Amino acid sequence: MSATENSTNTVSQYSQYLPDDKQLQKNIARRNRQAIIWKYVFLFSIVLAMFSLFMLFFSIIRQAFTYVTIYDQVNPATLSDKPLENLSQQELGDVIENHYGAIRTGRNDIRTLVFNNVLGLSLSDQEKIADRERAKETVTVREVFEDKDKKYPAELADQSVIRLDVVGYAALIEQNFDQEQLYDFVIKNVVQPLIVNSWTLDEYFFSRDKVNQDIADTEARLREDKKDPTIELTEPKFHSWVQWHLITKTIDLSRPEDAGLRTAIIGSLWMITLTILIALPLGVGAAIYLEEYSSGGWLARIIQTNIDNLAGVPSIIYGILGLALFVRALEKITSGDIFGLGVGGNTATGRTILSASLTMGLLILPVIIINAQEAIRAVPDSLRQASYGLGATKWQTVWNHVLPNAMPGILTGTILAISRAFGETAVLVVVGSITRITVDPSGPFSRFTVLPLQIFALITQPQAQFRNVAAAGILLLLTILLSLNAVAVILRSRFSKRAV
Amino acid sequence: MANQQVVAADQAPVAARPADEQINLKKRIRPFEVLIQGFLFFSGAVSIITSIAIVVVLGKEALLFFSTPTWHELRDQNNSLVSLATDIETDATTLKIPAGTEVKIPLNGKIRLDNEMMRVTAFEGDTITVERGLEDSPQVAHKAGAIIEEEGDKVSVVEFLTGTKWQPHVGEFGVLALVSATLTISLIAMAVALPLGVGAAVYLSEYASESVRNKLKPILEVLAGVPTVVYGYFALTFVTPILQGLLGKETLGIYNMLSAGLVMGIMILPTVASMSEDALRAVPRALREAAFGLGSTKLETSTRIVLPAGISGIVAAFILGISRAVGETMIVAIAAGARPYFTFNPFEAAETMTGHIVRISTGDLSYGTIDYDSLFAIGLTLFLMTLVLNIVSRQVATWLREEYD
Repeated sequence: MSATENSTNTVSQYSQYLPDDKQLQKNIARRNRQAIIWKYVFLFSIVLAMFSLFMLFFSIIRQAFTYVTIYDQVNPATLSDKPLENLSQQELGDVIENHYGAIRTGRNDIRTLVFNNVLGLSLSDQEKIADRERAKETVTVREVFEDKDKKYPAELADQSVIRLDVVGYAALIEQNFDQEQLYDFVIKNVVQPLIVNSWTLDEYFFSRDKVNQDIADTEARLREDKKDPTIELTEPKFHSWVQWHLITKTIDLSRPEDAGLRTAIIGSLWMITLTILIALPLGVGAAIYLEEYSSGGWLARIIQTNIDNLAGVPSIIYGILGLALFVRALEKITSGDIFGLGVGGNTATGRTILSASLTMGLLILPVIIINAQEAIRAVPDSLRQASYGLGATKWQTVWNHVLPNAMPGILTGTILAISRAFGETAVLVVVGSITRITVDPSGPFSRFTVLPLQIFALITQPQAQFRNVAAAGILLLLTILLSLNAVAVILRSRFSKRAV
Repeated sequence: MANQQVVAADQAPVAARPADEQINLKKRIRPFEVLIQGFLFFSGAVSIITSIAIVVVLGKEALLFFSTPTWHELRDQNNSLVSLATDIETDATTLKIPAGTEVKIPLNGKIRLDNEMMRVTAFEGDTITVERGLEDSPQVAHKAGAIIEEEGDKVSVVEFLTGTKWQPHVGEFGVLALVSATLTISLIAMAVALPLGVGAAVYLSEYASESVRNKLKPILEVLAGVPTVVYGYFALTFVTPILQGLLGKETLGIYNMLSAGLVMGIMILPTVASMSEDALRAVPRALREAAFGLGSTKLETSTRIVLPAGISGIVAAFILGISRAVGETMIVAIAAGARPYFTFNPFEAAETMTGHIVRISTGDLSYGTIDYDSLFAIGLTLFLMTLVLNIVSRQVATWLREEYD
């Protein structure tokens, strides 16, 4: 009783300094309200970040699956009176005979198509035939076709397989394909459909006016270009740009629907493999030196500061370094001249996979070192002491005890570094990989391109459809990178569980 | 029993050793270990070699840029190109330029046709008399219509650093034209990344529960792991059209600094957020408890106690973020435009330092050209800017750090 009185007294004594009860309650309510509002403001920052990430993926997927209209370079109606799909084998053969010759040469030359699609000859077999013909020997249709167990018209049997005319080749195609295959062949190689417009799904469904306007514009343009007022585009239809040929075909900067990224993917794999071979031993070596061997003297401190500084150097500076050092100063080595392995002659330059990998190796070195250092530092000292106690030398201790225990951490760091190298573009532009290359790289001294760089080249193409190909390429790139990152995350969580 | 056997086996060799031979306990030199140590030391030294190489390469080639005369196309008073009027033979010493062209060519000055350098010994009307094949340049025949180039002055460092026009082909080398775009875009990027990054950091370190944090952080890391070329694509094909829809196509072109800057801000956000969060989490718990004990709300604790205490880390993150933005390349190469232009207007298209480097190195860049040399001068400027920012960032972190022990 007295205690309560006492406290009431104290309160009343100071109450003149305090806000009255109502005011106090109001104050507190206001402050709490503020706290709650700001909590959502802070949450909003995170949500906005997540939203950007979502929009990023959305913007790419949106461009990778679109509605397209197709323009047939040769109007099917001019090929035959009947619809093409109703033609017999014989009639389709006639279409090829009558309409192929004037249309295509070069890599879509009808002979190459026969060799590739009908006979399935490899490039080296084709080379052999060409060599024998150069040596004035006749390679007959009978020999080649019987060898592959394919049919051929008797009157062509003794003729040279590379010197037939269009009629002859058309006959060979007709004999070996059924109606469906012939129809596909005619569509692909005679009609030659070309994608001329593409709209994202939202554009297609929500702004029909724009779609119709685009179609009308394109038709008008084509009619003027080709001087043919009857040209009409097909109805818009759904088209996925993510297709198998993305990884099996090479880049074709004239037909977006046929452009593949094989050369770039192989280039990326070569570059990454070499980069790991260069950077992993050096990076882990440097980390071991700093953590296990150096006694923390001035030299170690300089190296450590250096590594921290290098991690902050923009990647394009490494590109310039690579250009001056590996591409130019060490040209003899990086072009393979010194080993007699390069392209040879005047065409040999230092702009090779080796130069790129050396540069990229230097770029990811700090990342590998810093991660490996952390992993090595986390190995308990008792392990080292036990090893020394049993009479192991320093290197035996490091090799048999420290490294195996630090391995998951080192691997995680390496994978993160690789995923950085995989997505790196600027460095390779400066070091000088080329984008219009269709020959697969065959070794460290080849010229090359890589996936992100090919995507960059596609983005800068004037024809809008290449942006769709770029989007498909980006999906491929992101899939690879996200899988790499997932592996790193799994490794790290396993590692941390074991350490506990 | 088994124990005894082991002991016996251990003793046997010792017993077999001659009595006079002592066990040598001195440190032996093991060649393999020395070799390994040598390799490890070399690995450590690679980082030093790299740093030195960067400085030497950039310095040497940039010096070359400042010490070689520039070449620019010869222009008459109407500012149109002057070309050769008639074909000249391999050993002819007079050149004809189109009659009636008014042009200034200094006597003893050097001119260049294709790759051949010539010294002007006389100049009258439309006839130039020259000494051919200077400095071992190939003396060949030239066709009419070949563009005549004139040797200009060297680029002075002052001109380089203060000029506001970058037009190599008329001998204008003012790096500010490129720096202005770099700064504009970096500032836009930081205006996005700093508030959002710090907000995200406060939420993660002060509000989010451990399990929410563990779910959100990996997603932020994904944002950091997306290649920059993808961000460039995002800026060009998604953000720019949206901004054009909001602001009108007349105000905002396809290429502009605003969209590049915004997207770059999103790219840097994870870096700023994660560094700031580390700084905030390093603030001792006791400080927060004390604030709560005095009746502060969570907001007051966060903004008046925790943020000031972690300010060193946040400032460091801010500066490091600028450094990343300055060095970022692909976003600006794709979305910001390809024209060096001195402006701070975010609605304009302008080329940054990195964007310029990428554009001139696309395709085979021949050695010894002014483009090749200018690459290193720009590179050096960029390197010094980021280096200073990185060092300042680390220093600031040390200066502002509050020790709570």
